[in-house]
Amino acid sequence: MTTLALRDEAQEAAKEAQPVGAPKDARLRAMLDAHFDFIWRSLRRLGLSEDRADDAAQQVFIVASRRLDSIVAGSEQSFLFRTATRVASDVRRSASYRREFAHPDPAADLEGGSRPDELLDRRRARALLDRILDTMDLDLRAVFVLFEIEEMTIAEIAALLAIPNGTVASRLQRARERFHAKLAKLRSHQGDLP
Amino acid sequence: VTDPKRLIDENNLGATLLASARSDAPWRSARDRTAAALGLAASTAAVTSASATAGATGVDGAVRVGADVAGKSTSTATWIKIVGGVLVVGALAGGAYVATGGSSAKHSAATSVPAPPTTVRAQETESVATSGLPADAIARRLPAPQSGAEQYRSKAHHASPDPAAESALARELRLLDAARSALDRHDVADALATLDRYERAFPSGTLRTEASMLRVEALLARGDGVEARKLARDLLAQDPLGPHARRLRTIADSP
Repeated sequence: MTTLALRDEAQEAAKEAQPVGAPKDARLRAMLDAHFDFIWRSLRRLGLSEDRADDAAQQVFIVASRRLDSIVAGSEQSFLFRTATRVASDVRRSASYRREFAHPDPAADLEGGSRPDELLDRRRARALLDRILDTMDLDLRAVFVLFEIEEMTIAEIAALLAIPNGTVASRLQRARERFHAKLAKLRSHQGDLP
Repeated sequence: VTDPKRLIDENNLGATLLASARSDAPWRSARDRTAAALGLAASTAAVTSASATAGATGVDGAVRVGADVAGKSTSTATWIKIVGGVLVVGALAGGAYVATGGSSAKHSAATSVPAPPTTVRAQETESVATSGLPADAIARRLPAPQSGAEQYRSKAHHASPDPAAESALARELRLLDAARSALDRHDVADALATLDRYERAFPSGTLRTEASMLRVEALLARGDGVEARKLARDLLAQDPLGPHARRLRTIADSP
C-alpha cells in the first residue's frame, strides 16, 4: 500500500469519523493515547521505515475506528497489534517498499573494509538489526521483537497474539536460531569481533 | 513455559544491535495527525501555554512542545542507552574507549497542523550518526562497561552525578537531559538557561548538534518562530546533509 493510498484512506476515514459519538470518541482517544507509541514501535520493528511507520500507524487506528464495535473491551492492544502486523505485511509487500528496502544480505554491510568500531554508529546498528530481522518470517519476527526488545513475557505475547504459550516459545526459539545464525555470519566477516 | 533470559541482557554484539531499536519512538505530531484523521481533538495533555503565545504572536500557528510520552521515555533513557551501547561495543572492540557518541533522542516539539490530516509531515525522526559528530568525540574515554545492556537501562535512572568521576560526555548528557526535562514540563526559560550553560561549558561539545536542536524546540515552544527558523537555517547551512536536515528544513520552510 502506498503512502498516497494510506493518506487517501485517512482522509476518507476522517470524513467517516466525524459522526462518531462521544463514547466512541473517548474510547478511540484512550486507545490512541495508550497504544499509539507501542504500535508505532511495533511497526518499526516489523520492518517499516520511520516515515512508513507514521502512515501505517495511522492506518492501524483507522481500521480500529471502523471496527470499534467489534473490539472486545480489554483486547484493544491485541487487536491493534494484529492489525499492525497485517498493515506492515501489506506495506512490505508493496513494490515501492521492496525497491526502497531491498537488502539481500546483512553481512554485506560489513564488507568493504568496515571496522568493528563503525558499529558504534547507532543508525548502522539499527540498520543491521533491521536487515537481520528482515530475514525472519513476520510471525517469528513479531514474537522475537516483542520478547527481546519490548520485553514482554511469553504469556503476554501469547495473549496479545491469541496463540498458545508453547507456540510463542517455539517461534521465539526459531527466531533466536535465525538471529544467532545471522550474527555468526556477521562475525565471520569481522574476525576480531567475538 | 519459563521465559528464557533475554538476549538484550547479554553483553555482546547481538545485545547491542537489539538495544539500537530501543530508541525508536514516534514524534508527537504523528499521533496528533492520526488523532486528526480520526476526527479526534489533539490530546489535551499536549497543549501548552506555548500555543497561546504562538497564537498571540501569529507565529507558527499553534506551536507546541508535547508532553510527549515518547519524548519522556526516550530522553534520559535514550541518551544513556546509546552511550551504553557504545560502551558495550567498545568492550567488544577490545577497549573501554568510545569511538564516538551518538543519540537519537526524540525532539518532541511538534508543529500542530490543524489543516487536513496526514498531508503535512511536520516532523522527521532523526538520529545522530557518527558522521554527524565532531572529531573530538573520537576516542573519548569513558568508564569501562560493567554488565552490558542492563547497565544503560538502569543507569539513566540512577545517575548520581559525581563531578570528579563524571566524564565530559556524561556531563554533556546530564545538561541536555536537564534541558529536555525542562521542555517536557514546559519550562522553556529553564530549558534555554540550561542550554546556555551547556554551550558555555561545551562550546565544541560532542552533543552540540542535539543542543542546537533542543534550542530550536525551545524557541518554538516559546512561540519564537522567527528565531527558531533562523537557527534552523543556520544549522542547515552548516550541515545541509546532517541527520537533522529534514526536520530543520521543515522548520526553516514553515510560514
